[in-house]
Amino acid sequence: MLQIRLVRTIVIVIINFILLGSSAGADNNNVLRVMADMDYPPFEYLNEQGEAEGFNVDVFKAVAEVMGLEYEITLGLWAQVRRELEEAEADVLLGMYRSKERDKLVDFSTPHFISTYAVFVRSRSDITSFEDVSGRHIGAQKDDIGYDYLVENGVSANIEARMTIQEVLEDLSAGTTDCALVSRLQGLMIIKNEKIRRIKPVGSPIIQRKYCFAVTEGNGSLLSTLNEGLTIIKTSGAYDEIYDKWFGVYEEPDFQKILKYIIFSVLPLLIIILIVVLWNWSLKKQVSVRTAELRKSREDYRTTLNSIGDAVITTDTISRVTGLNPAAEELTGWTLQEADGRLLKEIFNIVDAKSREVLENPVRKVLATGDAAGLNKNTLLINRSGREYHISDSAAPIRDDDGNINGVVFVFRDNSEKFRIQAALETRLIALTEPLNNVENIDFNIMFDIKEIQRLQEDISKATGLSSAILSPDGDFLTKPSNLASVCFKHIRMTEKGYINCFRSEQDIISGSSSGPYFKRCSGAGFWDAGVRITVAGRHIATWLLGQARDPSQTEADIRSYANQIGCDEDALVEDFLKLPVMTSQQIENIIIAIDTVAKQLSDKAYQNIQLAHFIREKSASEEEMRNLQNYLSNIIDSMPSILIGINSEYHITQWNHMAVKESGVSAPDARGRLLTEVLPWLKEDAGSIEESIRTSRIKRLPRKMRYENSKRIFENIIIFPVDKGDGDGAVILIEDISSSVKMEDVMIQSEKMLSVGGLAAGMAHEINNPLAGMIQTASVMTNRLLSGDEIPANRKAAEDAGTTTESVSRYMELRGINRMLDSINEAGGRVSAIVENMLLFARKSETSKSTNSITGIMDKSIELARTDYNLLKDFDFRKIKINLYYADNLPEIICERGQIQQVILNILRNGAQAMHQQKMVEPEFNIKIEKRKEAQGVSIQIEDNGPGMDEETRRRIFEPFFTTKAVGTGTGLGLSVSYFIIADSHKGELTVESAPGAGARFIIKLPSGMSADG
Amino acid sequence: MDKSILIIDDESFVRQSFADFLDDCLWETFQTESGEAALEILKKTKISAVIVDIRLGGMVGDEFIRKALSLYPELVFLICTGSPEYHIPSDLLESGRVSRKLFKKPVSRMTELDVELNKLLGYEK
Repeated sequence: MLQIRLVRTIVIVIINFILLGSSAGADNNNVLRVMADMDYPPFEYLNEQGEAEGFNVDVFKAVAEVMGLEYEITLGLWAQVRRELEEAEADVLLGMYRSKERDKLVDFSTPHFISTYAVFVRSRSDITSFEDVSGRHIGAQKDDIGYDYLVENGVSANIEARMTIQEVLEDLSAGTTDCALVSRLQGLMIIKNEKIRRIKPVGSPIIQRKYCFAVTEGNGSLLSTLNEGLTIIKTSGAYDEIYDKWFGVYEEPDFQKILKYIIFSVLPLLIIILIVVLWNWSLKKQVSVRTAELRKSREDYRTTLNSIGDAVITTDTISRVTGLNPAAEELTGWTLQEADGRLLKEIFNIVDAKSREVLENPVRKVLATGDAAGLNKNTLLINRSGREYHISDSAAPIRDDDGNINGVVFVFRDNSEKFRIQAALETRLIALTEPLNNVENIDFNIMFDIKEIQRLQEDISKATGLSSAILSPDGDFLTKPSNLASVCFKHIRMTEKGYINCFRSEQDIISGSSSGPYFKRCSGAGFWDAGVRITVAGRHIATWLLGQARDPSQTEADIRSYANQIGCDEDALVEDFLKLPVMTSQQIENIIIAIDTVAKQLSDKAYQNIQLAHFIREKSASEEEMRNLQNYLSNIIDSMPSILIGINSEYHITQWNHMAVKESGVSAPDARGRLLTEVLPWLKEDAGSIEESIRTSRIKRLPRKMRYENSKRIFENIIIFPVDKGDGDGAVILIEDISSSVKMEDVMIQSEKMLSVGGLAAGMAHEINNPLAGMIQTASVMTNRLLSGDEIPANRKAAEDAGTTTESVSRYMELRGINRMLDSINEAGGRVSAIVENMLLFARKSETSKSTNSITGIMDKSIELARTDYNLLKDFDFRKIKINLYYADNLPEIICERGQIQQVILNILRNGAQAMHQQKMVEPEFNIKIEKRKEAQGVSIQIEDNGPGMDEETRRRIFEPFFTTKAVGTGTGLGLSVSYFIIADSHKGELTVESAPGAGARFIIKLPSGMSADG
Repeated sequence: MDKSILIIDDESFVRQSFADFLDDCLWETFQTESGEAALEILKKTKISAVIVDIRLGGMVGDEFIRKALSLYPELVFLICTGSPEYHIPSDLLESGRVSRKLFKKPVSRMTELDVELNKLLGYEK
């Protein structure tokens, strides 16, 4: 409302200025250009009709009338109109306070109004006049004359300055200040309009300000005309009438005081008393006129408010209710009378619909910002009787004509129905996408768009004239009843008996329609009642009720008798009865059969839609699931540490996982579509197996496969899974690199084998040693006896006894080669003894003395020994072999038995040298590398030759005792076995060999530092 | 200078080869195959040294030595065994009458036996 008015005002002002421009140019006749402030009530302002109105306007009109002036009043912004006058674009300003400064620019008429100031106090204040205010807490309007007056006169140090008079008075009312000095008339107006309570002016008026017409500087003739006119109207009483019209109403409550003032202050002027009495009489008259006008205006306002559907509440600036329209009364449950003056929150209890938290009303916000504010969309109004309404609302400031905010207006409306529909729609949307478990879960709201059904129901009601509503099986209304007949709802149902009859009848229809469209005369007034059941998949979800038509046979007399029976107004009932549509049972039947058909169709379609929605949802859900699964699978496949290859029946690659990329160096896009054996040629020999697997649809596990890659042995398990993908056969090939586990297994087997040999050796040694001792020692004695000659006395004696000499025996021995034979026995015995001795190393626990050694020192010494080794030199010049040494820096010292480690290195070097010699290598060489080991802080020694290498069988058995590839008699076959034991058993290290035929051999000795606590 | 020696070994070839060799070295040799029998011999016969095998049919070599050590304060002992894992117990070594040098079968340099026995008996040249 306020906004509309403001907009209109501005439009008019603009129009006026356009007109003003043209009129100023055509100003050659004697039409006075009169201007005034458009917003300074009650003196001058633009009313709702866009006309100039106010006290000043009326006074000027009266003056113009008596003086015969022609004029044209234009309203505008104060600053604007004042400039117009100063620039002589206007002839008269209707109201201007006189001051010395202003007098220099314009000329002033005699005052038509004298503004006075008054002290305002609370009703029981001890302050009775201006004399009492000294030193008190005084309120005043900032920059106002009253404020200046207080400061200039040093009345009080305690002045509370406020922007508006209203605020000053509110402070006073609230007790913040003791009194206030403001314009008396404006103060009274505000008290009245804003309903500020228990405030009154006291004492005699102080400070006078002269309010005059202003004319352009030097326009003396106009000034004298106006002054003359003013004198005339003041004398004639016209002025008084105008004064009372505008201000009388405010003065009225203080009549007694004014009278008192007049009597005591102006007692001698009895004539004036008389005038005053008369004046008062007319004043009263004017008051009633003005009051009536105000009432009328208020009526107009109220009518406007009442006629709008929205609820409106107005409050003052401290949130007290000042107005309530009927819609607001209905929603809040408060009448205006009850609510007036109460705090807004009492009657406007709002909470958040979801959280149920109390929401603060936006008065404060509106006041703070001066802007309109909307409320939370989910606002729930809980009214006086506890009923709840979903409301949508907004609040806006109410501004007075000066633009000051003097209240807040709330406009809200009940949106419960909208919410219900929306909620139903939401439920329906949610339900449509939920899995369809069974029809039990279906209800009407889900099946149908309630809004559409409501419209259909209303259309049918309109077409048939029947009232209609759809009820749930529980009897709740699913739709808003349409076309309700007043005969039922205004009369019959209002009586207790009538209501019970109606209710029973409805129940009959609901149950009666279970086996198909059903209709009957109602058990009360005998009107037609009908029901059509709406079912989905055999389940009753709603009943469509129709009725409130009368049979042609029903007479007025019948209904009169029913009215008596239930106790309601006969005539009124008959009147509404006659409005009912008349139908025969055939017509009713036709209608409900038609509705039944429609309902069935609708149900079927709706149900199909639901199923379709579910189907779509399930389909998209399963598609999504499939996608997720695919991602999941491909992640798994890619993170597998094995090669996984998918192929089709043409052996073309379809799937190529991350490991396949890594191992083959072929990217997945490059591999896809290519022939498997082209990308991985080493699988050629398995093509048969793959083919067989696909053909027989059997999983095929190929025997462990070994191949060399960069002279490294790679062991692989290959498993072929035939895949029947429906669109042609194929297979998935899983290639698992088991090299490291094979290696581990090798080491385990080796070490176990060796340990069992160790145990065996210990037992065997004793058994062999004894007979061997018998043999060797006996041979030794024999040698002594046969070859020592006379050194042994028994020899000579025996020779003599045999009739010979020891010399002859020696000669015989020599001639027959007995010496050589004895040597053979000794040597052979010695070799057996050496073998047993070596074997005993396996059994011997390392109780030998270990010491801290530099591994490079041991290596250097070993190489030196190898170079001077008699056994080596015999067959081969070790010095021909080039030895490349790579020693890492900062190698740790290790605790070991120096001699044993030297023996191991020597054994390996000897073994390699012999192998290279056998192969007649032209440039034999050893690459020896010693590095730090990460584990156990030890060292790793690699001794690599470029000899013939060895096949897998040899490699596997190389450390076995007595395993040798050398010609029989060249070695014991125990060198590497002993070495193995020295490293693995005595030093807790590892000795392994890597080799392939033609690729040399690499022995790797790994030794722990031996520094650990248990070492 | 009394050079009488008792050889205890359950293997007759071994026992005999020792006896033969020591005969030639001018020792008076006695042989037996068990510790029990050896103790009987020692009761009747004056013996200056004993060569003891460890693994014997009855009491083991160590046991025999301990008994003989207490019974015959002059007697010295030399151990010769085919067991690769054998070590001379410290109590025997501490007696001072058991050779620190352990002979392992087969004894390839028999003359060392003679040298060690003479050393034990203080007959060194």
